[in-house]
Amino acid sequence: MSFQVFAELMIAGLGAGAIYSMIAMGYNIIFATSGVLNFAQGEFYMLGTMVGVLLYVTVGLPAALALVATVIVVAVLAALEHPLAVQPAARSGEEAFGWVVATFGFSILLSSATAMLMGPRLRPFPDIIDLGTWQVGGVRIDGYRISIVLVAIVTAVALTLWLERSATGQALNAIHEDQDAARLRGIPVSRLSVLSFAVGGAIVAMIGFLSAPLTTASAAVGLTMGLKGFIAAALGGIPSIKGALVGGLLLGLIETFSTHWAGGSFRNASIFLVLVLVLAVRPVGLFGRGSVRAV
Amino acid sequence: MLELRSVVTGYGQVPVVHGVDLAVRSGELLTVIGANGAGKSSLLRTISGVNSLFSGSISLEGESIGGWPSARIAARGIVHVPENRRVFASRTVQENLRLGAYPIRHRVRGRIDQMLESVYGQFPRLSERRSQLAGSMSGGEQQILAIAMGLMAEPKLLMLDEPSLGLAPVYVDRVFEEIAALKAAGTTILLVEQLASRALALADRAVVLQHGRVVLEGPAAELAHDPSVRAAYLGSEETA
Amino acid sequence: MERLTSAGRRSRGTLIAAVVTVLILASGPDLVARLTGFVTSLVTAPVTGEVVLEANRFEVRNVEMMLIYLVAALGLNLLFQTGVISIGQSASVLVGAYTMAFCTVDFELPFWLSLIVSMVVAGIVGLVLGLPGLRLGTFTFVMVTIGYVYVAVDMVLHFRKQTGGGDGFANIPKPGRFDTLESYYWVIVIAAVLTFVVIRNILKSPMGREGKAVESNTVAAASLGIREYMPKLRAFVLASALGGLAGALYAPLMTFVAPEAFAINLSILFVLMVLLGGRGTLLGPLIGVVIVYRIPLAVEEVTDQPGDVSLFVYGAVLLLSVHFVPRGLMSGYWALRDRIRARRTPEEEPTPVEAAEVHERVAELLADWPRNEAGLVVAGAKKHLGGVKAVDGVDLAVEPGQVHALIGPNGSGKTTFLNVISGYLQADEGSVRLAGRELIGTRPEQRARAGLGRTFQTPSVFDGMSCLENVMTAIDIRRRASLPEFVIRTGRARRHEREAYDEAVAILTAVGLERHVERDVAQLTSGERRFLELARVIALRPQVVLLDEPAAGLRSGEIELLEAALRAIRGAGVGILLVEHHVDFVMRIADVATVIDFGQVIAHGDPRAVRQEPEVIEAYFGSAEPPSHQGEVHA
Repeated sequence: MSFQVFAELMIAGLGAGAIYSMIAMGYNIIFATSGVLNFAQGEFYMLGTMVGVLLYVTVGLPAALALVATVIVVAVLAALEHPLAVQPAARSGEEAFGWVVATFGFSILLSSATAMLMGPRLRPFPDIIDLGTWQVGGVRIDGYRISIVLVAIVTAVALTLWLERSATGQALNAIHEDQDAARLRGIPVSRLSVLSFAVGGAIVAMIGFLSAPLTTASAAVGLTMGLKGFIAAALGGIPSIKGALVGGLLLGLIETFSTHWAGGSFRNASIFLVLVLVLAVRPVGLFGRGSVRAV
Repeated sequence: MLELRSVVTGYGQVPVVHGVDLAVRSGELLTVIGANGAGKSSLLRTISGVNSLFSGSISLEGESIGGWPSARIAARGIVHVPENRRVFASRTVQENLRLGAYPIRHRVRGRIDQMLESVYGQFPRLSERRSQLAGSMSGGEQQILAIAMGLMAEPKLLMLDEPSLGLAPVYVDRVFEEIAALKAAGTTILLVEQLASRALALADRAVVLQHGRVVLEGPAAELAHDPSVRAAYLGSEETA
Repeated sequence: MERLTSAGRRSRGTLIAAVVTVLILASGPDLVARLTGFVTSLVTAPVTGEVVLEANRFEVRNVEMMLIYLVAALGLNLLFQTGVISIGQSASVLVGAYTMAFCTVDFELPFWLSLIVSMVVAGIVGLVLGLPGLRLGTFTFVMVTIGYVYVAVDMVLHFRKQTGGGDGFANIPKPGRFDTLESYYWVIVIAAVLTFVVIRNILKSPMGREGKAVESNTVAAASLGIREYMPKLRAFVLASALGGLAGALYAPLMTFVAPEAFAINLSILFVLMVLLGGRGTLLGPLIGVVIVYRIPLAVEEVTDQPGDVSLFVYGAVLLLSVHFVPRGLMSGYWALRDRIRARRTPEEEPTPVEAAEVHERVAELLADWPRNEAGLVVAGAKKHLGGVKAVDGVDLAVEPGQVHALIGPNGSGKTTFLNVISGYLQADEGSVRLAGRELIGTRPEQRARAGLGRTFQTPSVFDGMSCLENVMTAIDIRRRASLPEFVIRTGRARRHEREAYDEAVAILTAVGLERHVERDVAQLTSGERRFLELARVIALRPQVVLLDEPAAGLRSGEIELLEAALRAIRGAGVGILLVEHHVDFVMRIADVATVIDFGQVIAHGDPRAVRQEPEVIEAYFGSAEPPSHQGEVHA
């Protein structure tokens, strides 16, 4: 394989992987506090693209404003998931299955409502900003794709800093480590769970909006993206943010390289093979810690 | 300061505490002793709002707090130092202390560093280990940390759940020294313990719990010499 | 005593419902199609304003599809009941469908043979995936099942020459004698009914109980000799085979198969069908299938955006179900029915049981047992936990027919010690011998089968099962019939069920729980749960029993009954290692006592003497000076 092909595959893989990383980070934040693997996660991505279409294309808001508004709308919807779906499931005491049904029900509600309101067709999403294409040593580098990767890295760093430095972030860590002790110490577990849903949704909506020019905006894309983000999170280790970043990028690379070598039919097989191998050796994922309580 | 009336509580649907009356006066150290399974921990968890109150009333300084969310009760000044220490092992000592102050963090925003220094002054051993992971400390040190975390929340009432549990005797001594010092400084303390004699030596008043009911109460000095206390632990003489 | 089936009244209702369903199904495709169409139109009548009673080919095909889905859902239900989650059932259906297509079209095998081959192939793939996959842990296994679906679809697309790829595989024939839509109905009905019967027989067999046990409490299951892995693997293979059967029936029905039909969406639908109806129940999948399948059809009659509105309704139904019936519709129905029933019939006053009666009954039960000669000998046991010497060189022996009490303050290492003996923790050093046989290095299930019984600090009974089933699970360890025998209910299998039932009732009666025989464990008080656990241990017929704080949470009357039962067990020659805090109780029943603190033995001997020793008093009280006791006479 020539260096040029290799480098271009790397860039494509990292670009796709960055999206998966962000979705995985969303899973991790939510899981860390509520112990829930959110089936509806992919829908937050979908909403990022579709609400983005609504605000940026249809209404015509300036890009930055549309982005912020989209993120806020989705964060609110995500926060609603906690009282609507997660809390009733937790109350029933049914360990794994209650919230599988609940979060999946919520995800169907979101995707079908969007399809009803905005139609099932794919929606074009214009470029937000032209960062150009450069030629470096014979390799075509798409500026926008690189910037997406940068967004993912910056978000990972920001999230990690927040979790390690701020009082609320530390409280989230405490809840993940020992929810009961956290409650005994006066940490408001429910309120922080809602917050974690809002943050998890916001991150994913942001990448949905930003990546929409590269991918497709449609009401149906949630399931696939959700699954890919889930695989990225599992690979990297739940609930590690660093793991989500690495897992997502790795997933993107596996996708692109395996497609290049073995063709599209073996793309999924490669992904799952790598995933199962990693989990067989390290059941908690590459950077995971502790047992995966959920599922 | 704290008053419990006919409190019935437990886990899930099962009552473990069957109608307990209890009062803690400001500035005193009240100890609740009793054998394993007597309902002591369940009682504390209900006071701090984590377990639900089945029936009865709990009031702090005249204000009824039964049914309040635990975060609110903690902010009001009832601080619970859990059984088995339960410090956050993956966090450093300093982070744990800051977490202790979480319920009142808005109130103390500007002076949290001062509070930390004051606590470090009280517990020099913790000061040496500020950046150490709590999980790597010995049981006794973790217990001291757990108590210090409680102090960071500026408690009106400090509740300690079996601080001697699983600690080697030398650490038990240290822990009880610290508790004595807190008492001397005027902190109101509710101490739940299985080591009856140590607790009675330290306390002003005592309550003995058996199978979820109060079977004995009075000044600690009296109960320390009462054979029924021994009976509650090691069986009565009649069965010999 | 009235002879009820082994899951009580609940199953009588289920049986009636099932019989009614079979009768309806037996009336033929035309009538059933009319019925389902009618009911659906009833539901949508408020909006459409009309009710439909005619049958058409579309409805007939719907009915057949629902039955096919039911077959797959029943298999998945069995799997979920063991606690394994799979989002890969559609892959098994795909495998079955394509195998069927190959067999009937490419190899021109007879229909019935092809059907069986398809089932077997799907089952084998399930075995290949499950053998390694189920060792990986529940979470990872979910990923494996999701991967299964994606890879299966990819493979179909890849090998397009053989499978037709994205264009699909067409012209799949129905069997000669049933080659119309209406007559093919009978093939499907028979398959569905047979599947239902097989699943029912499995659920009511030791295998069904093992599955529920493993799902509810793997630790307690291990203490009854049940290894977590086996029931799960069995269930996964069966679920895969049944998925394959569904696929094999599907292919001729549609005459055409294409990969999109088996994508992950279908798997998710199956999961919803099972969870909505209530996993582990018999009627649950049927209800789930009907609801999940009919909703889009109902929606279609009401709106012209059927796809999305159906999904929206699905979502709403799911969320509502979690709010109101989190364990599925069936359990919601039962809860309602029990509440109504409770209001109508007052709770009977429990007839107080005398301790002497308990002693007599238990002794009678155990009189048939071979006299036990086996003792437990522990030498030099050591276990480090997280840097702490939890067990630090403990020697202890339990003679047959002896109650050996193990006492010590909180945190002294008693439960850790029990865990080391029973195999939940592996000792770092030392030996544990039961009847001379070394147990170190074996798993808890193996130790249970060697004759070691155990109860736990919190009564570890199996939720989701009746008291009867709980005890029968322990008796199952002695079964001689195999799974196929239970499926077809041979004489030997039926005899096991009958005898296990009778023995379980006798044991439950002996410990005073005869009122609760058919009741679900959830309705028991904590004291009753303790006795249920004890009944289960008795049913195990162990040689040595480890009891972890059995008197905790018991009222004094109940402690007397416990004592009586233990005396009877001791009388049968069983050795008892009793960890207890309740000192009066220990004094009355223990023959010898060992006191440990910080993982080491600090006193040993006659219980009354041991109690006076200064080290013991210090360990409990924390001071060398015992509180002064007036009136005690020093010998």
